[in-house]
Amino acid sequence: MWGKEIVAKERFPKRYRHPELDVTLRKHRTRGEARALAKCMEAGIPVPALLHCDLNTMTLYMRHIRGHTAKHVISGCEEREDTEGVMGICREMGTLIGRLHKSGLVHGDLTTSNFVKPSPEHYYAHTETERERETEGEGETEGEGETEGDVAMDADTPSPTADTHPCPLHVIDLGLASVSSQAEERAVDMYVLERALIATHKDSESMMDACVCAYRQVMGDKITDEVLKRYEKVRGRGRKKGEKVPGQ
Amino acid sequence: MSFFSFFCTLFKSVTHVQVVNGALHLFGGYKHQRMHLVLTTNQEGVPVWTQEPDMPIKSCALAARALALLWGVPLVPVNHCVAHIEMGRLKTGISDPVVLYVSGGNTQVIAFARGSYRIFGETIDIAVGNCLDRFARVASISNDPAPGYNIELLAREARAQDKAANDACAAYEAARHSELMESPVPPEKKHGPVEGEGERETSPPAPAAPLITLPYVVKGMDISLAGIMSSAAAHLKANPDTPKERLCLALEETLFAMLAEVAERAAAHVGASDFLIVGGVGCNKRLQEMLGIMAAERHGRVGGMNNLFAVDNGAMIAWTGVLMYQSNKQCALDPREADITQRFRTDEVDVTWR
Repeated sequence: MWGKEIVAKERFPKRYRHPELDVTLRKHRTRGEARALAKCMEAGIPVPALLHCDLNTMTLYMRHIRGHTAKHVISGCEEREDTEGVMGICREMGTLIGRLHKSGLVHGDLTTSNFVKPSPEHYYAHTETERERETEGEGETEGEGETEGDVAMDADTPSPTADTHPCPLHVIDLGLASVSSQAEERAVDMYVLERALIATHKDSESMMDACVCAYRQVMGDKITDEVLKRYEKVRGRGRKKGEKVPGQ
Repeated sequence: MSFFSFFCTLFKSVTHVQVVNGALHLFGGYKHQRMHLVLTTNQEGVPVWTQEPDMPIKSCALAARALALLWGVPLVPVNHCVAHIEMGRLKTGISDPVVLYVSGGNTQVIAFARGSYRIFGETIDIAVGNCLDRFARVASISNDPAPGYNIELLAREARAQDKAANDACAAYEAARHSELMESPVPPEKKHGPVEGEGERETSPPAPAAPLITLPYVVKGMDISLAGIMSSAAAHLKANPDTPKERLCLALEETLFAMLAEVAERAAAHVGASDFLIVGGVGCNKRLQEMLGIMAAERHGRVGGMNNLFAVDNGAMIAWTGVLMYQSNKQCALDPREADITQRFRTDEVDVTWR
């Protein structure tokens, strides 16, 4: 589509669910994800650019990001015992979460599988062809008469941070995202991330610390402390929890 | 096996060493000299109300310590949840399942990774059994034999009603369709006030009532259930005429869909396709059915258990204790220093037997 590699993300019906509940949920999530993606693109947060959303088939069409998930990258680093590499990714994740929260969104499903590091060669190949296109003249793409797509692609061109960081980490899978600026929702987001780190990675504690550190830089001390305070409460709500809070 | 299970069941209700001794002789003909292990576990409570919530398990721990010292046998600490899982693996023969542990006190999605049972998702507030029980109390649903079971029966009733209504609608539509296809009269005219044909016209059957909407809260692999409970209660308060079975249906469908979803996510995460349901809520047929459909889609299977082994039982503690002790003799505690805790996380257990 429009000379780009795209991904179609279709939400299939789940036969085990009550049919009414199933339709409601799928519609709600497809719509929610589309809105969240649009909002991210507006804020310049690296996400796969949304090209089209079809609520009849519950399908989203997005730009394909070639690369590896943060989970993959981290386990690669772990194998090489490259702690600095792991921490670097975690800091990037923290920054990204901070920017997400700052633009009034919560992700709802933060795991290391939901961050994608584009591989440089593809990323550059992408942006280069894009630039070529732009210099060659935009008539080509406009010829197809899909303004929606063009807007989306523009938003996907490297944002300010991308200049300092050549290959920014992308956040994907915003199906459970919601619009909220409440400390509670943000804290739950962090809690979900922590749980995901514990379940999949060895050195989850220092990874979480790195995330929170980077998060603090984006969000500032006041909000971060508020979120962390809430976070402690969220943790205590679950059964049989310890008392440790990361980043303090 | 039965040997241990007998002994451990005793532990649930008896705390005096002498009584244990006497009972062993009386019922099983066992002598304490044949006892190999003393097992103790967290969370297992005597159904006695006391001022101090820890009291029942504390007294059990006391008895366990006393017996271990008295008979000079090793004292093995067993994690309650791990015991549920091991019993499930034993009974169903599924070696590496994603475990859905759903009971009155726990709601966890567990899978084995890197030497221990990892909790992938869990409730961030109340447990699913607790949610059902509390709703039953609000809706004055009978406690006999169990509130969860009665909710299940009511929901089943509503499901049957819905199915009947849907079938009736489908039959009506089919009949109408064939009628229209056969009829030489154009369909528009059929609706006209032609009295002669009126006799075959029947009013369409009522469609199935819509599912009551309850909050569906999934956060990553964690779920939140407190909102459902209060929203169902509020719905009942605002509309006292709502048939209880409709609410029960909505409650079951919403709760179990959330559970199935997080279980599915965990399975996708670890690349497993088999599921195991343990804990009291695991007796629910609808939950088993839902996971069954999902497992079939993933070409896996689901291990449900009968009521005897899904709920808390002594055999599971015994079996896990044996596994633990056989694989690692060091797991035994010094009875003089052993204590009991209710805050014993599933993932804190070093799984030495897998």
